[in-house]
Amino acid sequence: MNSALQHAFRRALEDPRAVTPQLLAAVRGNHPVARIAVYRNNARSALVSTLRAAFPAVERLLGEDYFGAVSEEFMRQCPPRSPVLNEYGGEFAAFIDGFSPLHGFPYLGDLARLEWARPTAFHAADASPPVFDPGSRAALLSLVEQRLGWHPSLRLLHSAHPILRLWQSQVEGAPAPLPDEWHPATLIVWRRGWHVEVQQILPPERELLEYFENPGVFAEATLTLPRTPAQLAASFATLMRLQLLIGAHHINPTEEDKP
Amino acid sequence: MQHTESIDGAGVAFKAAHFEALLDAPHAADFIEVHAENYLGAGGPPHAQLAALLEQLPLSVHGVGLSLGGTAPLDRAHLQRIRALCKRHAPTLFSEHLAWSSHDGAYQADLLPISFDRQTLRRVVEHVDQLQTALQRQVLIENPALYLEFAPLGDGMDEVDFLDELSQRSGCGLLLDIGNVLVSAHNCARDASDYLARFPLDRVGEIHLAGHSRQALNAQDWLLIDDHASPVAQAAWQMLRAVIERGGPRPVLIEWDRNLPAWPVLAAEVASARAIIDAARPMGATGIARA
Repeated sequence: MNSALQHAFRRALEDPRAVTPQLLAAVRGNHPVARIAVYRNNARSALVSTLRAAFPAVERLLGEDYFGAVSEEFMRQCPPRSPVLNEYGGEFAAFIDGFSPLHGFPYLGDLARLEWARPTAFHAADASPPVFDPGSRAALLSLVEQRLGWHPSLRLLHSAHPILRLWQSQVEGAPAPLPDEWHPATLIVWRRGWHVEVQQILPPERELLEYFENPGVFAEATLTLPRTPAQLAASFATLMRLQLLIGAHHINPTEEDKP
Repeated sequence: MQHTESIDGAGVAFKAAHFEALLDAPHAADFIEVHAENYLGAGGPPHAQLAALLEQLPLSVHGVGLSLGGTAPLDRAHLQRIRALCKRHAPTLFSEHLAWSSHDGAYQADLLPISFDRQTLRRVVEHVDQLQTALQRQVLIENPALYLEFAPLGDGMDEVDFLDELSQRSGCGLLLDIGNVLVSAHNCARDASDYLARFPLDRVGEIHLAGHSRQALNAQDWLLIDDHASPVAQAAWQMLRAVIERGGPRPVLIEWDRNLPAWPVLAAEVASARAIIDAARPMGATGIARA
């Protein structure tokens, strides 16, 4: 089997109209078009299932058929480059943003970003957060001097739309946001233990979290951030309680974790 | 402790939905198999579940994406990730397919057919050699489920001769997928018994069994589809008996990847495979010790 035949077969899988006479001549047996279609259907259904599993709220909003059609177009423009299918879909949000038939739904791209952050967090590297014990003065003193950074699973998302409320309305059966509840939101998506969590984060915690995006020390943050020490201490306690930060020495992956 | 010394008996293609059930009674299976491509993330529950099960059971890793039959060079980055996975979980067996899936840098998400000829054989031998060098181990190569056959380039080869020579020249072992034998025989008008009679069983390191379905071509004719979505067919069980009687016990894996049944249904399939293997052992031998 040579490269020209593989190329022709690949084209025929992507587009039924691309079945060439040369390709048909290379297939033995009856019903060659139907036989080629089995491979096409297998490949497409594997990719569409992957996208449906990753983007359940987008699928609910668009409906099963329309989501299938949007997926077909996405697969055509952005075919998978790797056989690791749980990594396929990272470009879906940007694709939706640029897909003109969906411009009447300006929140869909951000909703897809929120959905994509979930499997990303699910598969992210493991890291144990430091022990946070508000009752132990010595442990707290050590923590405020420790260099800390983001848990490998953590993603911070900003949206002009209430995407968490939208997501909950599609996936968890919660009521959809009303027009007067249509506010911008900042969300965190991360894995605590083995569970992926999503929640809204308020400006004080968000500022402190952004401070730690490049690993830093809380004691130094108190000198630079425009908040009172009491506010900062409360925010720091929240970040630690949610297990969003880990010791910076854990942040570089080991040799084994590198692709 | 990880069981890395040997695999014997009947195993199951592990699915996360069955994690609790399998952890509660791990010796319902003698080993587990996972698709390499589902475990290439850095961490999280998949690796944690695998590590917990590997305390009790040995592991077989089954690659589905290396595109060993492709005309393009192997994807080195992907190969490195597979190598890291093998280093992390130390599987007892590693297997891949006689198929291609990537071309021009795009992945096709299915196991696509190769033609059986000398030029293709040379290329697959090179790729298997490269894989075995990267993993520093022998791998097993699986016979394909075919929905069509390509005309060969020049003089054609028979699929069994192709696999036999691939195994001799590269030093790889073979994974005999009995479901694939049935599916390909029907779809490509071959004789499945003749295929099995000529298959080099001494090179076989593992056997796969899975269910298949029918898809109509027209009012009279149909294709068999290797969809791993139903119980193993009676014809496949009979073939397993014949193969084990002739070639001796081999590790047998039940694959059920879609429309997953409740765990007891799958465990019963594993038990059926185990009974066939045990029946072929010398009197008194029961394979590995089971709790």
